[in-house]
Parts: sequence; structure tokens; C-alpha cells
Amino acid sequence: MLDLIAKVFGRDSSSAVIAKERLRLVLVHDRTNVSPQFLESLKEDLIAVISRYMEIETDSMDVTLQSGENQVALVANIPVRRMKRAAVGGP
Amino acid sequence: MRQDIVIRGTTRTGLVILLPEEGGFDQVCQRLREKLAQGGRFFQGSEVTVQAGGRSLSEPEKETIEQILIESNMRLRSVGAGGDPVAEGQAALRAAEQTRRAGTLPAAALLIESETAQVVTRTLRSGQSVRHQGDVIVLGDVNPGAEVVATGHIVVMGALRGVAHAGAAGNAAAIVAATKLRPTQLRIANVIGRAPDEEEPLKPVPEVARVRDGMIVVETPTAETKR
Amino acid sequence: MGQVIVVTSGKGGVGKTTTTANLGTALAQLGNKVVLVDADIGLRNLDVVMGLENRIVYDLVDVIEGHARLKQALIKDKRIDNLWLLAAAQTREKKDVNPKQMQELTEQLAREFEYVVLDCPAGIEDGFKNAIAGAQKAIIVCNPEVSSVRDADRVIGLWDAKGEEKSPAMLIVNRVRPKMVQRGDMLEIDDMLEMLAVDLLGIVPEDEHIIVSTNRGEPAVYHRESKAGQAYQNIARRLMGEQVPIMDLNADTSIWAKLKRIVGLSRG
Repeated sequence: MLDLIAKVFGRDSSSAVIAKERLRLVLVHDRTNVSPQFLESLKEDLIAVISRYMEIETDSMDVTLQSGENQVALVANIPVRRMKRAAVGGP
Repeated sequence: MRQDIVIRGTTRTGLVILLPEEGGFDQVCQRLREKLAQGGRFFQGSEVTVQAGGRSLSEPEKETIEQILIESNMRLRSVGAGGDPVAEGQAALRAAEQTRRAGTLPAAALLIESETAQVVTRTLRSGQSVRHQGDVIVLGDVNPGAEVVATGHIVVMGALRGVAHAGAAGNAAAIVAATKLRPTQLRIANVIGRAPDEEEPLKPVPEVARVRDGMIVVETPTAETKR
Repeated sequence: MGQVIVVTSGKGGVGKTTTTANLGTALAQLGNKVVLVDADIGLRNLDVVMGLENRIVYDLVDVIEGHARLKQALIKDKRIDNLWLLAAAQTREKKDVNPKQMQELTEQLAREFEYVVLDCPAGIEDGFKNAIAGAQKAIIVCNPEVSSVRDADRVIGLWDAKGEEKSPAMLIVNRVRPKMVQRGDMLEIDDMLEMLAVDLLGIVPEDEHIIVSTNRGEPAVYHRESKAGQAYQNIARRLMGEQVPIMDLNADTSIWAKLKRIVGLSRG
């Protein structure tokens, strides 16, 4: 009944739309759900960039891709030891 | 028609000398001396069977041949009247096959001849294959996509719907029999037959496929009716 | 040299074999010399769909292993003169063949035929790698459903990663049900194309003729009334470089719609 009302009021929740959204998510995930090497090299690059601004705990840092209800997120957990006064070095 | 002397070594009877079927006796003796001389010492000390190859040799003639052999340091074991034992053996086999092909021997008798029948006690499904030197008996079905290859006969106590190749080593006397004969393709020796493109009603009796006049024909085992 | 085209999908049961049979037949009907190659070793089916299962003496593996010459193993179609089939071996496995051998085989075929169409097995393992080895073009068959699109995406990625010279993958959306699309219960083609980022080669509607024609071993392109058959004919013409508009599946052909047209109610 709710479905019907939703349709009548124009809120589009047809199965095609649901399929499309799920698929979009799955494809993003599939395409990012790549090899550990991919994440490892991402991690290396992150360390390089962040280290210019702060001293970080590289051993206990963690970089993952997480898929939530309707999004895929890059989650990086990086313990900071100390901030630097100015950026060191450059690209 | 053999026109010259043939000397052949066999494992069972030792050296065999086949005399030509044509030419006078003197000529034969002459040729024999030449042949033995050509062989040099190769033939020396061996025991020989002489096959007269159809000609009838008188006692003096046999002695003459023995003399020639002794001159070459060979011993005569016996003189036979026959021709080439190998060729004769082959001819006998051909004759036996002709008899089988004519269908005078019942299929059961042929099966007993082969010592190495393999019995398959399950249904062969698509992608499964049984290959055997000898006869194959399947107690079950042969489904489409499955194949049975045998150098002898193939008997299926069930439905044959796949591919069967009997007489795979070239024996055209082999048969394929099945309770329900509905093969995708049948091969006997190097003859290939395929199912008709249009479905035909299945006969409710076992059927036998064999080669007749270079073609595969399907018959009921009892009544010799061609389809 | 002819074109070597692989028909693939990743997911099973989406219509690769049906597509290969119909597309090949349509290409032959248009006058091309075509050979269909069943690359699904161990699970052959193209012979049955083409109605040629009782004519197979030698197969692809026999040719590769040198038991038969290519000419001996090619099976001539029973309806069209310029259409041939090279069957898969049924009692063998995918690993009995390697990509290099397949490449050599397809090269040899491309010298004789204008179109070499390979029916790829489902999956992305050895059989898939063999099938794409010698191909310059890939047709991805996909159904408008989530799992099929996801697998198509994976396969397109693998095709792109295949180093050598090749054209971009082309998509056939198969088994489209226009009524479900209208109702909003089927993924829309445009959305699929956007997500997969490939060119559309054609749309094939769900069609009962396909089942009937598979039963009979007679591709649907022979049946004029078959919508799917018409779609495959269009696809064949597009492959040959002709500009053929994508079939409008929304065209309502019901009696009611005709009646409306007759009495002038329809705006279409």
C-alpha cells in the first residue's frame, strides 16, 4: 500500500531505480575492490604526503575502502604523533 | 602371383623358402642357388621349411632342393605344399570377416570370441567417455554428449543417445546394439552414420546397427528387415 | 583477413550461444562467409542450437592436437552454404587447449572466412582466456539485471586489459521485456550503457521464438515473425558497418493500439 502511495505521489521507488542504485554501488566497489598492492601503494603515497605536515605512526595506520548503505568510502586511520610547524619538502 | 623365390624368417617355424608359382623346376633350382649365394653366410646353419607354393614336387625334385640347401650349409626341415603362410592367414581372416559380415553368425557367438569385454554398470552422461580394446557392454543409458569407443562390439542395455564407435580399429564386422537405438551418431570401423534430421518414431524393440555394403544399416535382431 | 569476434558475458545463461548462432546465421544470410567456433570445451551447445549435433566427427581439440585437419573438422550448415561450424570437444576440458593454440587456430580460420565468431564459455577462467586470445572484437551479451551487468563490467575490464590490438567492447542487451521497462521494473538501457561505458550494438527483446527455435535446432533469424530474430539481423548489419536504428521496443503492437490508430486516437 505504501508503495502504491509512493508511486501515486511520484516518489520513484520502482525496482529498476533500486537496481540501478545497487548496481552503481556494486560496480564502484568492484572496480575499487582491487588488489592489496593497490591499497598498499595508496598507503605509501598518503604517508609521503601527510609526513610533510605531521609526524605519524606509520606502523599502526590503516587504509581501507568501506562500503556503507549507499556509498563507498575511503577510510584512513592515521595516528598523529606531532604536528610540524611548516610543510617539509614538496612534490 | 609370385614369380620369384621368397625367403622369409618367421619366429615360429624358422626360415621359410617360398618357391615361385611359375617357371620350370630347373629354373627354380637355378634361382634358389643364386638367392642363397646372394645371402652369403647369412643363411648358413639354419633349418629351412620349403613351401612349394602350389606346385607338386616329385621325390627326386625334393632331393635336388635338399642337395642345394646342403651345399649352402642349410638343413631341410620339411617340404610343404602350401604357399605363403602369412598371406594365407590374412586370407583366412578376410574370409572369416566376410562370413560375419554376411550375418551368418549370431551376435552372441561373436561376443564370446572376444575375451576382453568391459561391462559399464552405470549411465554415461554428457562429457563422459568409455574407450576399450574389445567389446563394451553398458548396463544403463548413453546420453547425448557421451561416447563409447570400442575396437569390438558395443551393446547398450538401455537407451543409446550419444555417440558409439564400434570396430574403432577398423573391424567393419563390429555391431552396435541397444534396447533403444537413438544415437546422435554411429560409427562402425570408418563408416559414419548419423541420425536422420527428422525424428522417426522409435521402434519399441532392441535394434542392431551393422555395416552392409559400406553403409550403416539398422535392423531388428530377429527379423532381418532393413530400415 | 577476416574479423575474429568473441561473444562473451562473464555470467552464464544470458544468451551467448543464442547470440552466436543467430548473429552468425544472419551474417551468412547477408552473403558473408562465416564460421562459428564453439569455444566451450566440455560443455558444447552451439551444435545443438544450430541443429548440427549429429554431424560432428572431429572437433576443435582434434584439430589443435593434430588428429584432424581443419577442413575435416569444419561442419557445413544444413541451410546456408557459406556458414560453417567448428564444434567444441565434449569429453575434454578447457585446459586441454591454451591461448596460443587458439590464436593460431583463429588466425588460420580468418584466412578462409570473413567472420570468425567465437562462442565463449561462461566465467573468466581458462576457457575465457582461450576464447578471447585470438579475437580483435568482443561482443558482450548482457541481460538487464544487476548480476548480469556486474559480470559484464568485469569482463569488459578484462577485455580492456588484454594488451594487443583490438577494438572496444560492444554491448548487446538481451532478453529485454518492454512491458517491464515501461513499468519501471527493468534496468534502462541508457543507464546500463552509462555505467558500463561501452557502445551499444543492439537490443534483443525476450522472445518465445528463441526457445522454440532452440528446440528445433533452427536459429530464430529464420523466422520472420520473431522479434529477436529481426534484432539479430539488425545487429549483423550494424557489424557490417551499416547504420541501422535501434529497434523501438516500446512500439505498442497490441490490437488495442492498432484499433486506436485506426480510429485516430493515437498520437503516434
